This record gives sequence, structure tokens and C-alpha cells, in this order.
Amino acid sequence: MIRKVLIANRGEIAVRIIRTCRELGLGTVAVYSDVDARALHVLEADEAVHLGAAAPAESYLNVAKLMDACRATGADALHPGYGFLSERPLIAEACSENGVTFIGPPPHAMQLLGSKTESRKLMMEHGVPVTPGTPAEDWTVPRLAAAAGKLGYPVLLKAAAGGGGKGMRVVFGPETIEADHAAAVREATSAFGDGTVYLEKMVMSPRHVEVQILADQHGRCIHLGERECSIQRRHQKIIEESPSVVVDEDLRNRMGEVAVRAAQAAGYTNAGTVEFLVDADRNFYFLEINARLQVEHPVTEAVTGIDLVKKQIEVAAGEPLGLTQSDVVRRGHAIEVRIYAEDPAHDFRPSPGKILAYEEPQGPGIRVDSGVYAGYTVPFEYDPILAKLIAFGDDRETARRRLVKALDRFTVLGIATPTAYLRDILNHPAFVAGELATDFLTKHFAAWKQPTAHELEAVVAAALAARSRPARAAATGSAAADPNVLGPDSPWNRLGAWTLNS
Amino acid sequence: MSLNYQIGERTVRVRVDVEVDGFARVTITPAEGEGAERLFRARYVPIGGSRALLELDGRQTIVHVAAGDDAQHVSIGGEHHAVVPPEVLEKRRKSGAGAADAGGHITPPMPGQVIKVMVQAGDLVAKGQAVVVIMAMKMETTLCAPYDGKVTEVRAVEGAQVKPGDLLVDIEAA
Repeated sequence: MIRKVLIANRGEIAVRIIRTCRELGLGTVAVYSDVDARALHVLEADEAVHLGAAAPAESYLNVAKLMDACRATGADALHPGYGFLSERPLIAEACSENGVTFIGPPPHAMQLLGSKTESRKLMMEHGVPVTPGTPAEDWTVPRLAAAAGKLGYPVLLKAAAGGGGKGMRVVFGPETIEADHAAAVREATSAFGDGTVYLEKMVMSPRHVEVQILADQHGRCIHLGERECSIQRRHQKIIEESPSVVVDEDLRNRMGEVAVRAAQAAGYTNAGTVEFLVDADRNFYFLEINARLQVEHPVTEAVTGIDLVKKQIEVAAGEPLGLTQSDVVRRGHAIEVRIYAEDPAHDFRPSPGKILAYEEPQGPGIRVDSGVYAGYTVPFEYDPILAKLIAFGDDRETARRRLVKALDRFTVLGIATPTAYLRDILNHPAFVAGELATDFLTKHFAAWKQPTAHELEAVVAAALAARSRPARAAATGSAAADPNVLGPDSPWNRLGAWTLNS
Repeated sequence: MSLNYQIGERTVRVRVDVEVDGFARVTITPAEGEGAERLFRARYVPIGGSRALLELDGRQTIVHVAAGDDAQHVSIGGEHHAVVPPEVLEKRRKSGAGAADAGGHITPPMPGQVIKVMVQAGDLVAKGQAVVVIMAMKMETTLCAPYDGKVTEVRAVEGAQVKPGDLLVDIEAA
């Protein structure tokens, strides 16, 4: 029985978790760092505990402080969200030592899945398809070149201890393999203290398709179908949808069955995601299991009607799933876009700062998961994700059109966001046709430019707004307090009454 | 009476002629060079908060306008634009910023933390050479020398928090 949940996270995901806890009648405890005292998750929770400085080690990653916060507030469960501590076995262990229910998988499964080579080995033992490759070892160049030749170029050279692209190299042919190997070993050694590498056959122009699974503590594990997350920028997903246009019922069943087998092989419970690459012939290969709630979970919630956070809490409390595979009925189509604080006009550089105006779109089939509001200052210390916009419709085209219209009405002023960029992607003929791949953006959007169709109209609005404000401010007597009012040195103010046609 | 506004990379001259019923004729011409004149008949009706109704040549649109430190931010038709108003352009002109030599004042494009300072006062730098790295939102942004020159001043300190406008490094053109 869980009564009060501490959310060891911030931003939109913390707000989203609080929402479900509320529905379930559970108490909620937010935690925050120095720069997050006025963050939305802090305002939304029943109570909030200050952890410390902005640096994650002093706040959101500090297990001791989180345990103290549980004790101080009487929280009997902890939800880690995504990122931060969500995939670190130590938080699950600390929870269990302190009598706090961890809302996530057991530590041994997290441990196992944290290692790419270990989980790859485990999956192969259980008949889960993985990309053809070699074991990790201390290769000599001739043997490595022979192995690469056997796999067929291009191949991926990966660090056994790797992650985040460090120690990873694409090798296009035998002429560069010696240099690529040396570089990969050097990077892997400096980043992880372990220079062992392995080869994987590179899947060309793959799709990224992942399967959501749910497993209870009583041996039942089901899948909730797939999400396609092929639209990625610098390995970061930015648009996700369910279902995938390439996955038919037969492939869905096969991938789902494999995903369930993979989760069970790892002794997994709670919600998790099994990631696959799908090639042009619709062969699928295991990538990894994400032992947490995913950013893109709302598209699955939209098409299945299942609240994943609710299921996570129930499973963590020891309740049975209460669902069999045949109870999962999928309907319609959902697409999600991520709204980051980044400037697509300037190479997507981060754009923290104060939000001067903020308005979310509304309408049938529209959902917004957000962690921000008008007047809020987005700190530069954390991830740039502000919000997620999800559109649902009876079919893909309906969802896509809804999402485009909703993006047009998503207003964030003061900091830059990629709403226009996302809209242009959704309107691209290849996206409309469902021709997606992880290299979609490099292929179609490398030369994207900020749209300027309404530029002059924006100037008209700005010029007239400056004129209309002093009158309004004078009427309410709040000129000094209103940040929207231009200063007294504005020419619009100094000029007073205008001479027509001067 | 026309005033200059900057939008994106270009500057335009804007003349507002007030008509009856809150309507205005807004004439926009390029500030420099040749270009077509654009005429709008418009009315701007604030609704509340940042919202306003913009009536343009008989069509109406909901827009959002918010004044930032150095620009009017406008959301219209799914586009977000920063419009730099006349008084800011005037201030920049007076202070010499925006002039040709302002490029040597290295300032961060966004708030962040200095994680690496790669030059010292007196160093000669080449165009495009990295001088400071700042970290914001877990991403590194490298600030580079805009032209060949000599570093005259270094104010950036590793670990310090900085914001746009703060002088990090000053470079004098060679």
C-alpha cells in the first residue's frame, strides 16, 4: 500500500507523475534545488523539500538527501522519473534499505541492463535477435579487419563499457580501420578506463522502433505495442508516434513476444522499453532495454488508454497487473513532439531564460505535458526539455494535422523553441508518407531555415503594440509595474500625438 | 515620420498613419537598398496578458506580443519573431555596439557557466579560433574569435556564471 510518493525529479515529468498520484488520492512530495524553488513541479506538489545547490550531485542525484526527504515527509514510495537516478541501481537499493517502495524495476535488472555487452549476451542466449557482431576483446588490427570484412562494411566500432557515443566509430572500409580502432580505444580508455571494443554490423538508414512492456511481481509480463522514434537529431529523439507505419499486426506480435522474452530474461518488473532497430526488410534487432518510464510514454497511453504511471505505482505496490495481453486494445494514432529550449535558427544552441508569454494549444485529441509557465525562468543547469505536445486521432493523418495546428498555437515567447521546425518536419512529404529513418533530418532538414512568411506582419504587430500599451498602462496606472510596457524613452511615448502623414 | 525596426537580419523603416476607429496604415520599406514598399491596414486590439487581436487587411489573427529586454517578441501564424524596436537600435547606435568592431567583444549568446578559457591577454588569435567554452543545459557552446587579432582583455573565469552582454574576452582586430 502506497500513500505518499516522493518524485525524485523535476520539470514536465515530475508534474506528469504528480498528476496521476493526485488521481489515485496519493500524497505528493516534490524535491528541488536552489534554482528550482519556483519550478512548476514544486508549485504543483502537496509539499516540497529543498535539497541543495543546483549541481545534480548536491540535489537530484543525492541519494542520502532524497532518503532524508522521504523520512522527513513520511513518503513511503519514490518515483525517479527519467534521467537523473532513474536507471541507477543504488537508488533502488537505498529505497529498499529505508523501507521506501521504489517505483521502478529491481536493482539486479537495472545492473544487468546497464551494461550493453552483458545485456547483448543475455539477449543472444534467449534467442532475441541482435545485430550481427563480435564479442568485446583486446583486438589486434589484422584480426579486427578480418572480422569486419566478414560482417561487411560499414561496421560500428563500439566501446564495451560505452555509452553516449563515446568510443564509437563508424568504419567505412579496411583502409581506415587501423586509425578508427586506435581512436576508439583511446576514447574508450580515457572515458571509461576500459579500452576493450567490439564490432557491430551497421544497419543502414534504420528505423528506431521500441516496444513498451509492463511486468508485475507475480510473473506476468505483457507488451503495449510499439512506438516509432526514428526522427532524431544528434541521437536525440524529437518526434515519436504509435503505431509505426511499418509495423503490421504480425510484426507487432513478433516484436512484442521478443520484447516480453527479453524483459523476462532480465528478471524485469514494472514498466520498461525494449528498443530495436528495424531495417529496410523489416528485420528487427535488439538495441537495449530502458529501465525507466520513457519521455515518449504518452503516445502509448493515448492509443491504449492505459495510464503507465498508474500501472507503475500499482505494480510497485505488489498488485497484479490486472491485464492480460488480449485486454490490450489499441485504437487510433498518436504523435508526440518535444518542445526544447533551443534555437533552431542558431544550430539548436540552448536557450534558457525567462518565458515572457506562454500559451498551450487546446482542442480535441490534444495533450500537453509541461513543466513551465509564463513568467518562469528556465534555468541553464538542466536538460532543455520544456514540454511535450501529443496529438491523438483516429488515423495517422488526423493526428498529424491536429499536431501541426496545435504547434501553430503553441506560444512560447522570450526563449527560443523549435515549434516552427517541428511543424515543417510534420509537413514534409516524406514524413506525411511515413518514410522515416534515423537519418531523416540529416537527409531532409540539414539546410532548414526559420520561416519568414509572417515577418512583416510581426513588425506591424510590434509597432502597433508599442503604441497601444501606454494608453492601457495609463488607464490602469500600472506603467511602472507592467513589464510589457516600453520605457519612457520609447519614441512611441516621446512623440505623443502624431502628425498624420508628416 | 518613420522609425527603424530590425527583424532577423534586416532593418525596415516603418511609418504608422493613424486612421479612425483604431485602424492605422502601416507602411514598411527596406531601410537600405531597393525593395518593394508594403502597405498594411491594421488594427491591434489587446485582449489581456500577451494576447491581442491583430486585424490585417480584413483578416483577423490572434497574436502574442511580449516586450523583452531588447526586443518585442511576437508570435504570429505559428512563427515566433524577435522585433528590435527603434529605441534599442538607437541605443545600440549610440553605444557603438552593432558597429563593425563590436564583434571583438566576446559575450555568451545565452546564460551559462564558463567551463574553459583558452586564451590570455596578449595572445594572438586567428579567425575561428576557440577562445571560451560555456556550458548551458548540459551542452557545450564554443565561442570563437570573429577575426584575426590580439586578445586585449580576458574577464572570463572558469566556473563563473555568465549571461548575454557580459564581456568574456576582448579582441582587437589585427
